[in-house]
Amino acid sequence: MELLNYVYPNDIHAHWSLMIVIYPYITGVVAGAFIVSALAHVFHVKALQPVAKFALIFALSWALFVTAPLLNHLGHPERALNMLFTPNFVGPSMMSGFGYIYMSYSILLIFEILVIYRYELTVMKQSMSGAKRLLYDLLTLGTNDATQESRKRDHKVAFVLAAIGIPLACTLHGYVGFIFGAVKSVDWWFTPLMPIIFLLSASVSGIAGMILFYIGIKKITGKIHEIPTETIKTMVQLLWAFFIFDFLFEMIEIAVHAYGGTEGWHVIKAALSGPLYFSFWTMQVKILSVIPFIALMILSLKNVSRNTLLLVAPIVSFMLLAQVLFMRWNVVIGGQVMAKSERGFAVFHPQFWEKEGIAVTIVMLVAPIVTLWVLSKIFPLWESKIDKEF
Amino acid sequence: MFYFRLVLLLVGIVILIVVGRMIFLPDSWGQYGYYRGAYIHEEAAKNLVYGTNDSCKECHKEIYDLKLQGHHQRLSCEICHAPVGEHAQNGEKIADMPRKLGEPQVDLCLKCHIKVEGKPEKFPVIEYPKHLSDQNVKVTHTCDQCHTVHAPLENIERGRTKGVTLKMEVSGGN
Amino acid sequence: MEIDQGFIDKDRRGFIEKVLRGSLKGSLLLLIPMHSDLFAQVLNEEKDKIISLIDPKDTRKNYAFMVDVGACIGCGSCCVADRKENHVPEGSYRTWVERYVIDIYNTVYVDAPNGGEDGYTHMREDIKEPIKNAFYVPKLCNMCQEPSCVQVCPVAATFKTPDGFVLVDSTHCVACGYCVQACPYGVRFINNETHTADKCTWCYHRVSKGKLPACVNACPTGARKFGDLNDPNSEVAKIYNSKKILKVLKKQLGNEPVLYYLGANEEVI
Ligand code: HEC
Ligand code: HEC
Ligand code: HEC
Ligand code: HEC
Repeated sequence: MELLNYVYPNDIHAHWSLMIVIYPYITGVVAGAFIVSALAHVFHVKALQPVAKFALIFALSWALFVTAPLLNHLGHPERALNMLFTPNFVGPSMMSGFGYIYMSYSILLIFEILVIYRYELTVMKQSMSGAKRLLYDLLTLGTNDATQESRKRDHKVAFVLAAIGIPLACTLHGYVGFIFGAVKSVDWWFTPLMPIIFLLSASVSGIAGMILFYIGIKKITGKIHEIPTETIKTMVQLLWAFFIFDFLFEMIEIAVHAYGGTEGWHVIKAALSGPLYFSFWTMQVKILSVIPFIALMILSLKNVSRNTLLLVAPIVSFMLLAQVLFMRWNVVIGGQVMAKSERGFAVFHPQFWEKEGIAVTIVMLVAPIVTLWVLSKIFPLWESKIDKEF
Repeated sequence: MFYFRLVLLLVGIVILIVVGRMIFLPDSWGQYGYYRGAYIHEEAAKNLVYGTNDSCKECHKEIYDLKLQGHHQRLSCEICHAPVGEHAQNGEKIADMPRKLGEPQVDLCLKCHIKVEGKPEKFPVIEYPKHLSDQNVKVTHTCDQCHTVHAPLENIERGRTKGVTLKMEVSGGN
Repeated sequence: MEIDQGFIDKDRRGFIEKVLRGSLKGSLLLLIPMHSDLFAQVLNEEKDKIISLIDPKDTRKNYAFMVDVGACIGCGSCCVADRKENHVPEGSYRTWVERYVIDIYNTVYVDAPNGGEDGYTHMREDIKEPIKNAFYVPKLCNMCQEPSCVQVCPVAATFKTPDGFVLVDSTHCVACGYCVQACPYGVRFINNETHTADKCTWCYHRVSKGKLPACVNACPTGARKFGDLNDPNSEVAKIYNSKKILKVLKKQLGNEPVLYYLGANEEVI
């Protein structure tokens, strides 16, 4: 069927804006970073120990902003708590559970951080006074236990929390995928692969973000020599592993639509060769998937020099971060562009200065980075002497 | 001690949600189902804007009756004019209606009667301005010069105008 | 509720007068029971009084909406009426009328400038090929029996009443827009005045007062029909129980709409 561009009058403009593009993006980074820390804490991957703590703080700095785009998007943000007070479990609504899952996950993440840092903060606060001391008192819940037994207990609890955290982080992001995957009226979204793709791309963005910021921060603070090659290498391999499956499933989804000639295929095909051509084929697939894929393969399999690794890894990570952002765009905006009339495309033109415009989007993507900086003043990001001697 | 306080914190959060739910749960929640039941009544109690043709009858009986005899009997008065709520309330006229005697009427009629693709076969359509030239009048003539708006074939017999009406015979009001 | 009988032609009174005078040929209309005119003049009735009259639990009725595609003339009166009746802001549509034009090569052209509200007064000049078929299709809420919008609402602000209407509680809605995405028919939108989700209610406030929905009342040709399927004398029930072929939109999605299309082509989606 030829598309002659008719769109239902209410759907002419895509309603879910950039905010809904970056919401799963931020959630993804959170979930991905947590998985790295869990690998260190639960599966005791030695090479990842140096970034285990950083991963948690990195996750927290993004987790604090998961709701920001949502609240900005809501027509009635003041009623947001209705999500907790009257969740629609009867429907059941996929989105209603998100409030609880996100809340449980944030609580767990914060508890995990408090537990892991408890001993260190307790030791640190002994030499502090005034407001700073008050803050640290708050973070250690006013306790002063610096015995070795207490550290052992911390470790056990941290292990348990991290163990609970893995499925929870997966749920958190798989869930976001399900929010889209459960909408049967949009063919581009309605696939059981959606939660899986979201989960995998979340891990990719989380790990890529960590590599980029790990190397970046160390570089800026002039401590790049402190980075163990083994750590970066492991992270790169991890990234590649997740990305293989991520990319694979993204392509399978298209292949199934195309080969099966599903009901929505004529619309999807037209959109992918029309309004989405650039953002999907050119950016998401050709430039930002194929190139990083090959680069990661070489980095993971070949014995590249440390300098190459430290140079290429952040570039590839940045590209993958962009890939995931484009993927979110193509899912969220793409699904709306393929109009329900099945006869045309809706339009989406984000403005720079508007409530849900580009400026606000940038602010929301920069805010976690600033927060990371603030948090780094409170929580030591890196493996300290105290950790090592334990 | 630390863990005791941590658990306390967790319990606090849970209590907050439970209490919050108790406070913020709307009264009629669950009255008819898992939603705020009172809304059904609020929705139902919304004011009407449009009435029916019966709402004009009381004050414009002549036109009402005239219309029922003509080909426009199925039409709602309010689509050519405006909702009764904007014109009369509680038995009093509160504001003027659009479309008064003496205004030229073309666009209104064409909205329904102009020939475009998609009109049902049985529906009477005209080509504009061919219809006017067919009647041998200038194309500046308005529709209501030959057709009485409320009963459009009133003055037309066997395809001929009974004499150009210029204005309607029936006047409105009480 | 007193006004219990089915809905009948809006000019019924007059018709009955005419029947009595013997001027109406088909006196079929006499069979249709009268509805009380209790509310003929109610516009600003005291709210409490009305509230106490409504019983949403009353499920004796089985309302259905029917659109007779062959009768629609595309005048847009229904859209105008709907906008005023429900205070729908410009740019959003609770109901609209699409024009379908199919040429001899089976290419389907659809348009709905301003939702068809201004009426279709111009031919489609961009179509070069000879036209095989053309018709107008009014669209509105499908009042699904399995509404996907209700399913996805995270705060249960939109729901199905026991008597089958899908409503949006505008005091509870957070306007996340999930329902807008989930509705396969595109009838939902975010009202930019109340900042909540909004949609056609089949004029619940009129129906519960014994009146026809505003669009049905406005339709000059009877292309829009509304009534109770449980009342065998109602127009919709007669069509429903006849041999005529009815179609619902996007049946494959399993939403089970209660909005039926009479005489709609395959091309209508
Ligand atoms: C409460 C009585 C009342 C009702 C009900 C009523 N009208 Fe009127 N209407 C009046 C009066 C009084 C006038 C002024 C009559 C005159 O000047 O001759 C008027 C005038 C009009 C006019 C002439 C324009 C104007 O505003 O002066 C139109 C058109 C009209 N009415 C249409 C309607 C229609 C259509 C309805 C039903 C939807 C309706 N009216 C219902 C009382 C009423
Ligand atoms: C809202 C739509 C609408 C508007 C506006 C409208 N009409 Fe009509 N008209 C109709 C309908 C419906 C019929 C009845 C058709 C039938 O009998 O099948 C009709 C019938 C007629 C007929 C009788 C045709 C016949 O052969 O049966 C004439 C003449 C006519 N209208 C003229 C007018 C004029 C003049 C105006 C402008 C004042 C006008 N109409 C405005 C809908 C409209
Ligand atoms: C000069 C007088 C005159 C004017 C002005 C006029 N008409 Fe007519 N109209 C007639 C006559 C006479 C007939 C009946 C002709 C026939 O049956 O072929 C008629 C028939 C119609 C019919 C019914 C056609 C059918 O096929 O049954 C419609 C609809 C109509 N007119 C609409 C309009 C509209 C709309 C206008 C304004 C643009 C208008 N007329 C202006 C004299 C007029
Ligand atoms: C086809 C559209 C149409 C419909 C339907 C219609 N009117 Fe009118 N009405 C007009 C137009 C047009 C005028 C202006 C008179 C003229 O141009 O000849 C008018 C004028 C009037 C007037 C003022 C006339 C005067 O003498 O001051 C009244 C009152 C009125 N209409 C009442 C009604 C009522 C009551 C109904 C329903 C029973 C009704 N109209 C239905 C189009 C319509």
